Amino acid sequence: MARVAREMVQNAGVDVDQLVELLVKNAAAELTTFYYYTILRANLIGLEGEGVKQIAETARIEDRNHFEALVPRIYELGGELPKDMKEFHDMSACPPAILPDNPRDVKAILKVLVEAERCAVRGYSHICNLTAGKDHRTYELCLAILNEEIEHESWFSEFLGEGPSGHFLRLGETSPFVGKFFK
Amino acid sequence: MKKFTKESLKSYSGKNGAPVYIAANGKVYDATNSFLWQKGKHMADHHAGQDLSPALKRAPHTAELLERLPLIGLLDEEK
Repeated sequence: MARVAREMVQNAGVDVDQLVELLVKNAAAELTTFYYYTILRANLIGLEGEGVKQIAETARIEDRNHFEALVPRIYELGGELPKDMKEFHDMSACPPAILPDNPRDVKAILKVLVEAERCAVRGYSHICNLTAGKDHRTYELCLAILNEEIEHESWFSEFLGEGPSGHFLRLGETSPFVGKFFK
Repeated sequence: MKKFTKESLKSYSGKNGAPVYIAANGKVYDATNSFLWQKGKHMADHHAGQDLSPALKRAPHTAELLERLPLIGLLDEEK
């Protein structure tokens, strides 16, 4: 644990135990999403599905990166990951992104994807609100993740015909915002 | 539709196998089967069996998400 780093956050008026719980729940959401998106990506096939596959893959890899970036902050603040993977899955901040009953229904898969990203956007907005001006490191990390989650939501939302987002698929490396936290 | 008071709502906290009921804006919802309300707790600091209207104002979502849960009653906010 980074004792002084935790003290600084606590002294700034943040409930550190609550914050750590939120970080662990969101780390669980990221890792479980990485798993569930693997299944969704595998089922994105055919003329419709293949067009979505690349952004689903980018979102999948970036969600795994978010997990990697969150873990050090959890331990710095005195938290830890559960020893039991089942417990970790069940405490996720977002519901499982389960493959729809009809795996050939690309629109249904897109709805699962966009709901997962919207849950993440809400979660990181909440943590940013809790830590703004108080816990600079967690804030910067969660803001970086939020930037990527908003882009993920935009990609899937466009495929659902909800309107233009102004975003485009990744052309360079993944995680342009979060990369500095785990490189 | 069933009527609840803040006092009667307290017994639906999700503790010891109790159902998970939450109230907001005068409506009572059943969150027992919600993944996000396991054991009557939501996002580290919200507990079932309560009127969550004040917390909802600070939440990163609106009442729209609650509308996805079964509506099971009305809350008498005076009592």
